Amino acid sequence: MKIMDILIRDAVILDLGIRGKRDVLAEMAAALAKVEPQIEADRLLEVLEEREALQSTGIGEGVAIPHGKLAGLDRLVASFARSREGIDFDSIDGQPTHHFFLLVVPEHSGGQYLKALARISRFFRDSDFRQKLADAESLEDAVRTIEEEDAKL
Amino acid sequence: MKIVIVGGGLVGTTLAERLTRDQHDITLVDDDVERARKLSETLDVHVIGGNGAVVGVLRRAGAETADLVIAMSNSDEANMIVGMLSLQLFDVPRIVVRLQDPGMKECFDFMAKDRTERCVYVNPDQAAADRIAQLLEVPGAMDVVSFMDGQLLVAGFRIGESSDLAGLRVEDMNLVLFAKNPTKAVAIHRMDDWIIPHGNDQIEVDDLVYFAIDREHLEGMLALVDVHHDDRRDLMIAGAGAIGQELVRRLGTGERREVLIEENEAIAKQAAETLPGAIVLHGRVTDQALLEEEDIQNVSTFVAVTPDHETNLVAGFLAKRLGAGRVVALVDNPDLVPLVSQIGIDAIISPRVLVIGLTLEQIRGGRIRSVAQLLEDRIEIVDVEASPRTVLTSGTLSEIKLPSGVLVAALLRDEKLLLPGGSDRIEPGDRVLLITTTENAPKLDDFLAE
Repeated sequence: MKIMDILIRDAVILDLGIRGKRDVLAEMAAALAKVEPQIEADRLLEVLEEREALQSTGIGEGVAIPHGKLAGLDRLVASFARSREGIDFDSIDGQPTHHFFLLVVPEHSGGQYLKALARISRFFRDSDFRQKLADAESLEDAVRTIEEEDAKL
Repeated sequence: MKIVIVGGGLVGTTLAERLTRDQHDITLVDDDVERARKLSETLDVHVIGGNGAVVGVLRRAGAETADLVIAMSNSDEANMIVGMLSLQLFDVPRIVVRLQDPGMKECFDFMAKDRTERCVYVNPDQAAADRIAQLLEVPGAMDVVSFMDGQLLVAGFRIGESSDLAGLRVEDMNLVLFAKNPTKAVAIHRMDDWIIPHGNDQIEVDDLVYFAIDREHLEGMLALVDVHHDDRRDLMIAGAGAIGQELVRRLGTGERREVLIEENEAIAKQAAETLPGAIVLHGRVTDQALLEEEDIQNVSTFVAVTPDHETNLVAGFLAKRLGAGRVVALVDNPDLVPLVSQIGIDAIISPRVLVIGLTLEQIRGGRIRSVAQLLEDRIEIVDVEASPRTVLTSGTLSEIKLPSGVLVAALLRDEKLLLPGGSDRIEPGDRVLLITTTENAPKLDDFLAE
């Protein structure tokens, strides 16, 4: 599965500014809801917070992968957001989080869901990738970086 | 523990080595005097050359004061006599007897009289059929053992080059992939090493990764390790002996072609009579023309279980080359194991390893319900009931400081399966699945002691 096939370019946020965990999730959900008629921002926020309550998706090294299943959605969608300053996301290593990759999937999508999560996690294990995303000057830059990584693996 | 092992074949010697390492006092008896002499040179145990079914020999081996006698020779009759003498003459508290022919059990029970509860029978064919049936339940797996009444599977998958798991840390999987579905990476076989993984260990291409999986979440796991659905259904078994027949009985659906190939005419005839739904052919299992004639390309599962394990490898190789889906072969000789993946065989089953696991279960005793070993005999999985009097229940998992190389894979609490993290604690009465390398197994035993 390619991440570029599910990334919603118009929902990417390049500069989140300094805010809390809930604001990040809310802003990403709202951005996605704006371009995806099947997604309702409040409902998505609820799902994401539920998942974070179980355990933070902040996997360390400045990366978080919030995700959840949403009824009524008919395909997988993803978006990306970045915070230059870093946000306290209760991540595993206690460090501020800069990169947020959001994944939303239909209710019954076990295998595809896990595969997409695995792939995104794998991208972020590459420190060059993280650095390039951090350095991206424009939306195009950021998307191109993801596209390149997607083509590589 | 003082242990007498009769039978210096592959099983007996592996057990002797293993149990010596675990600090038991071992005497090994073998009736081949020349072999016994060689074994005494290579093994660090007391070896006696002589027939273990002779009273004097058993006495010399110390049966009178033994805590356990293990009869592992290739002869059921000899094992039965060893068991009987140990039980009735030397009053040994516990005996493990290898019986290949299930019919012999009745005879043994009769002779054991009121002491049957001291006896454990180990049947390598039955054990092999069990393990193959478990394996075939999980598509794509190289090795499968089920635990906790079948709710939990421990299954090993090879990580391919294009796998999305390659490059991930174990922690990434636990935090992101498996937070909501009980799955956990519990062991990694990399080149010649076995790793009990920590959060920071990374999955690499070509690793054989064992996951503990809640059976209900198996489908998602299969997609994750890139196992694709095979539409073919036919089953072909090379070897119609006890294992082959047992497999048809267990796996036979009656709705697909089930073909057995057997070289021995008498066995073929007997199999055909007992298995009316299956097709039993008398022929060579390595006969390429025969395999093709029997539509090998429509076979989803090919299992080679003849008594000749080298033949199994060749048959498996041919079947794979001719287009069979999943190929499983019975292979005992550790020297042959490295060949397996090279010639395209998907999984092997070693009765030797299985018998050793079943025997160890008897030695560990106590609250340990089962001991299983993975592919080789270098990893052990122990299913134990948590006692309130052990360290196990004295704090959270990070607080109790498990010995290094030991991992808590899963808990079963009130019939609910849990895959715990560092902040969770084990409650008295929980069933706990622990994984360890065999070198660390004695440390685990100490840890579980009350």
